[in-house]
Amino acid sequence: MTESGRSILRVLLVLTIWLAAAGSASVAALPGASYAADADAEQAAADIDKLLQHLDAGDTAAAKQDFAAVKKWWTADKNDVKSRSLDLAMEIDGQIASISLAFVSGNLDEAKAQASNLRFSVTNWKDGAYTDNNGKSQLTLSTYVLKLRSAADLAKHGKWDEARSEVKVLQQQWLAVEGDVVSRSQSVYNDSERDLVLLDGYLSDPNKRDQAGPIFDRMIDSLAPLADAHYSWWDAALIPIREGFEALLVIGALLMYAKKAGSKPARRWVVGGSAVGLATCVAVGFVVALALSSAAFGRNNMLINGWTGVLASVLLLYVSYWLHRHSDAKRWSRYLASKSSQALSGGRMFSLGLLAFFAIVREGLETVLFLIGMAGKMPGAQLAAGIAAGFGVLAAAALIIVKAGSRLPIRPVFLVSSVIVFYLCFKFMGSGIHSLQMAGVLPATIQDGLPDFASLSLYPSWYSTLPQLLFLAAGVVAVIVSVWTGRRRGPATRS
Amino acid sequence: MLKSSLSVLTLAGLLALTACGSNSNGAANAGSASPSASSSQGASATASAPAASASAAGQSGAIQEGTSSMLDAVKQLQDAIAKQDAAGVKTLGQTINDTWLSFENAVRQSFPLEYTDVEKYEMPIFSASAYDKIDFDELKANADGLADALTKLQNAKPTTESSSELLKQAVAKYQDYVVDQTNKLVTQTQAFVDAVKAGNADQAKTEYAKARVYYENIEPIAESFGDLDPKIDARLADVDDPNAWTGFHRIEKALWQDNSLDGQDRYADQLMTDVKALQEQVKTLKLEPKAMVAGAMELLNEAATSKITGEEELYSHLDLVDLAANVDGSKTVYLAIIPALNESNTDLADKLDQAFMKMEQSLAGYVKNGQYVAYNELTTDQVRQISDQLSELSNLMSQTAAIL
Repeated sequence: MTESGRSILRVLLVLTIWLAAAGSASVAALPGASYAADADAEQAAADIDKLLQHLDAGDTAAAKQDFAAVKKWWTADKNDVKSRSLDLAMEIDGQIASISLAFVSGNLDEAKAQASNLRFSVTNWKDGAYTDNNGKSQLTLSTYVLKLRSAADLAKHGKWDEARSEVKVLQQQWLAVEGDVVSRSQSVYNDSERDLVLLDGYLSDPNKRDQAGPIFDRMIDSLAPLADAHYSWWDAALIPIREGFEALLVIGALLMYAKKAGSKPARRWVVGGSAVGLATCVAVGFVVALALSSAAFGRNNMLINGWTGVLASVLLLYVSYWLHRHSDAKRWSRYLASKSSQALSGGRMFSLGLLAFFAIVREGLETVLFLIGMAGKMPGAQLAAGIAAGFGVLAAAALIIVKAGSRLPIRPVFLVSSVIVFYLCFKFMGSGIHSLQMAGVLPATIQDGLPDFASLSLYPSWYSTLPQLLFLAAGVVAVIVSVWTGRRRGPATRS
Repeated sequence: MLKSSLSVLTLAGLLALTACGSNSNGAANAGSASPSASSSQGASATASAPAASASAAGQSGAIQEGTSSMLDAVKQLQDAIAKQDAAGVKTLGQTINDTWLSFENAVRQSFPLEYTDVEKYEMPIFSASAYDKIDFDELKANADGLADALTKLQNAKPTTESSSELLKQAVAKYQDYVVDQTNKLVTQTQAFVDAVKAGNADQAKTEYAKARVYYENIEPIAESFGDLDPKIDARLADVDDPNAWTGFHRIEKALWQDNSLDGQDRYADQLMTDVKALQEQVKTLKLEPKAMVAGAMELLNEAATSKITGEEELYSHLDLVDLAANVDGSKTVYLAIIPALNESNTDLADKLDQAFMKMEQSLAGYVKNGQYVAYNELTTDQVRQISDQLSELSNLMSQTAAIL
């Protein structure tokens, strides 16, 4: 095993033990028992639907009968609702009174409007989507995903209007669960918000209805894991793997470069920067989870995400350029020969360490919060095993990158890693600026013509796209320049 | 050279972008500032400004003047009551009300607690002046009470307590009111039950109407005690098993529809038991300000949901009695929270005052022979008018939640 591999594993081992201890010690308070739908409330909802139908048809007599049934339900259940949520109870009470007065004064439009409001309130009661008397929200993510699935089902069977009204309710109920989602994955949160709007748009447009299906699927796929009550060690492992992949690429490229340069100090700087990054994430993550709340930390998380992304992107541009320049074998051997074993200057090594730090902190804080969130959902031993496995996979991948890099000749290795690093630089810039827009540091202006690929961190906003274009242009220019100077030096250099 | 200048360019570009961004964006998007908090602060800022602009000296002068004129009028009223002078009583009732209207706003803003006491006695006196039949005993009690309240007002000092302390006092006062009403309910129900058991239908009908007032004044409180409200106040439509139906309306049906009090003794006894149980429960009542303010809303909703439809008193058609009691109960809460309202929204207090007054005046118009007319005698237009006023009152009352 290589020196760098050993160091990585040592650091990870310590962290894993630390996290396992915390995981088994933590008694995460589950966010309130999920509220089972009340049969009476179901009946009341059905009665209100009939009431709305009869009002639409102008059948006042039948409407009044339906309303009588609703009033009877309320008389029986009012205390129950009050005991759970005084606010919701007062809403329903007021809506019923308004409907009653509307009937008395013969104002059927008002009766219809209030009946719709009542329908929504009763739906919220059924689904537990309300703030209870302790200020907590009862709607769980699992229930939310279930409702998503049922809406998707409606869409699949061509019941577009029902699907659309379901989606509208889901949009309004998103507030009740978004806290759960944003604390675990910023990206899922952003994607879900975007998808809810897309679904609404697609379902309301007869020409675009078919596009709703895939969006439902991807939304369910991204939310379900967060809501899944049955977490296993593999779920815990997937988190570092998924979130840490890009950081892995950066660290791997840096390590490989350090190895090629034969510079042990450089390697130590990279490993050191990574370790400090990991430690920072874990420390801040615990502070947030124990002292603050994930939701309250949301904006700070976006700020950290934003700035580290942008700064890392700039550094990566430099690294990418440097790798590309030295992919010429002649130049590289000349470079090695001209320097001592301390081939890299202090300033450059520091930048490498800093880059490693940024790359990890960028997604690391979110990852730690997510893992802490999982601490209450599986036995501590499983969590520890999962985290160890996840980081183990990352470490193995890093080793492979370094090994492969050391075995292969300079030119392809440096060229490929230059491209990969350049891609990361491009992506980090986009997502960094997007995060800053979410945090309110930059204005969130949308330009419809621009490409929108969240996975490539391409967002339809000039604030993120313009720097990305500049980088792209700079990269193209650099490539052209190097090819041109290479040709100019003539065939004599190619031997 | 190239690489460092490249990085410098990029950094410079980024910094420029950020600078533009933060200048135009500023704190607009930042943080989670709740818009409702800032808007309610804005409302209170504008509301307290006009109150502050009225000179304190001018106000207290007006209050002193008004209070003395009113006291004179009340003394004359007490003389007229002693002489049983119906015409004189009616004229004086009007005079007293006119005088009160001229300076009551000032009193409400400066002496909210004393305001409550004066209102408590002044309103019935004014209402009585509109009735065709005068209950001199009740009037005497009110006149004496009003004289006391006015004297207290003359000697009152402006309140210096904070809004939350005032609210706590309001809750305490309201709880006393609830206990008082429940005690009166027990006494009155006893009279009702005695008449029922004695087989005296006419007496029972009179006592029934009186008992309903005390119950409907505090109905949401009774509702909060689990199953007492269904036992005491359930309508036939609400029960699943007609054989298990008990309470006021069971006996109401016997009195007004079946026209026979046979077999009603056990219902009467059950009613007495339940009402006494309520009395016990109410002694342990610990209200939160939020629940009390919600209760005011609930009373108006009650009126809107079952009284205005005539389904509450299906057999006796005494819905107006119940409706008036609901409104009165709601007003009691409103009077209790005036001090807190004064802190945040005197405009709302004014509007509520006017809305209550309109409601009470319009209801008073339906009193014949000292009693409310039967609900089924009202025309559709009259019902609509009451309904609109109720709606307006509800809208205003729902805004009082802002004081919490």
